[in-house]
Amino acid sequence: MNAFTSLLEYDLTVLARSWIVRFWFFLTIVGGVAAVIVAKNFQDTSSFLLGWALLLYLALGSLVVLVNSVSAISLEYRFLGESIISRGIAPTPYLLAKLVSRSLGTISMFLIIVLPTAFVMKAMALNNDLTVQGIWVALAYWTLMLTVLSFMGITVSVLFTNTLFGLVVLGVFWYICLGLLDVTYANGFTPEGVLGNLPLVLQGKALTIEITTLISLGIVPLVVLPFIALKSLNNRDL
Amino acid sequence: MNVVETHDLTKIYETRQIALNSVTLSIPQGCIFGLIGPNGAGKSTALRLIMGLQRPTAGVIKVFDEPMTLGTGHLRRRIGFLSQGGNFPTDMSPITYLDLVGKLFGIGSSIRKPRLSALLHAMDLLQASSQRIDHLSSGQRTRLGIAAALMNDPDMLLLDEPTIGLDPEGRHYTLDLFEELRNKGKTIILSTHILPDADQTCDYVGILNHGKLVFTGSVREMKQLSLDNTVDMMIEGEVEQALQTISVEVRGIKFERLGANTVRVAFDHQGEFTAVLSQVLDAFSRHGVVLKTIHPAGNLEDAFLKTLAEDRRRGFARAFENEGAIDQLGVRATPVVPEPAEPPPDKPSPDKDAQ
Repeated sequence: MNAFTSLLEYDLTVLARSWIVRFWFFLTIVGGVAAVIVAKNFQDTSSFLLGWALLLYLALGSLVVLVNSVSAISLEYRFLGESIISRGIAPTPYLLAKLVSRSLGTISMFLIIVLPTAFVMKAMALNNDLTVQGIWVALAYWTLMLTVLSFMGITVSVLFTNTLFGLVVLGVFWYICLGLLDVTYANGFTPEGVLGNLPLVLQGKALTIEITTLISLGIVPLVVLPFIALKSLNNRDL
Repeated sequence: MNVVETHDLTKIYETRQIALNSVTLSIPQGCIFGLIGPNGAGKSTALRLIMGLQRPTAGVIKVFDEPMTLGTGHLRRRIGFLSQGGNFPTDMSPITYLDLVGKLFGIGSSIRKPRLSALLHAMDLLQASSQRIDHLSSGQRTRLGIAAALMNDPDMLLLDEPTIGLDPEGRHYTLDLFEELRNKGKTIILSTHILPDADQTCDYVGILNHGKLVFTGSVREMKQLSLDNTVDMMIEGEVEQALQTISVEVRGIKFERLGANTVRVAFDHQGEFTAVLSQVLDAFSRHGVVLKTIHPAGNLEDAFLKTLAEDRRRGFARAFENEGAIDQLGVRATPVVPEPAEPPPDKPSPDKDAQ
């Protein structure tokens, strides 16, 4: 077992033991069941209902992802040098293990509940307009956004040893960005308008985000952030 | 071969505190090297720099002939490290923590499990092996730290205050363990301010004061530094009266009573040491005083205090020498840390004894 896999295993264990993760997992199950019940009993289109479910997940789930990622390294600074890095570890495998573990945790928490929920809604909704392709595309956007948030959180975790300060900084930044993104794509301040083109995406009729936006807001941060985090970690006294 | 070499190693923290000031040091393989000094002297910083956990502000550190940095994890695989106070992931138990340490070192299960069990047994942690680490006593945490430092069967051990919090039995056992490891060819660098520990185990010592290495050399050399030509004698008989008479009869000696039957004898003239000692013994015999034991009076503690005092004195001297220059610059003379002194010319160079 090499250093990376050992660190990955260790961090996944830490994540699995987290009460925040357990509580959020339970809450997501409850939310998923509630979404299915509503879709089965109300006339609203399933794309509208799933769109709102995804929006709520992003708004509330971001908090959990923020806490999990920002605390990933900052909470370990107290013993990072003595108990981990001094055991033959270099910063690169340590940081990579954190990125993989926290992103994997974030994506798993999201997909394990939301993916089955979406397909159950498609199958059982009173007024279904979801398509398989639409569900996959929408969930891919959400997964990308949550992964970017995870990477940002871990970078902030390296930059700020004070977890609370890091949380506030990234929290303010993230929710402002979400607000701006919604304002850009929304069609007015109504229950339907706030969702923008998301229902159309779920129906398989639109892609919503242009490829350049997707790359600049999604792919570029995923490539650049690890380098910033690694450079910062290498410059730190542990 | 030197396992650790530092050249002009300097560390200044962001708070502008000078933790280490131009430390040049060589530590040979297979010895126990003690870094001693008062609190805040820079001992822990020196160990963390050698471990690559901190970046030097200036200077070079070579470990096993390679430059040590945070990125050189492969060098740390050959080192066992115990930090002061032992900072652990507190929600783990000793058994899970040692298992993690073994995994981080890449030790396979077939070796890791038996070694973990042996170390828990050897460090008397079996009963506490399932407790959370934050429920352990400070002594148990120190023992756990030593066990973790030994998990990879290292070539070199860096131990920051390894006997702190240990009971006398544990302390004895630990010091014996270090000697045993040294005899197996391992190098041990320990920082301590418990001088009897250093006296008992170390082959070489380095004294740090305000971040400056003010002495390095063998323990024997350091003891000689303090009390050359001085012996402690345990005697029986009419001691008081005999000492008064002998002080007059024999020239070039000074007596100092250390206890009812113990006396320290300082000889003024180095060259005549044997002759004067012989006169003292004759005089004792004539006055019916029985000599029970005699041994050199130098001890590490005296030498340590003397070295620090000398360094402090030189520091003051330098401060006054620089006063004029500071006035000319028009700045206020309020240095954060006193300007360190050069090592005294009569002392060995820092790496002389380590070669």
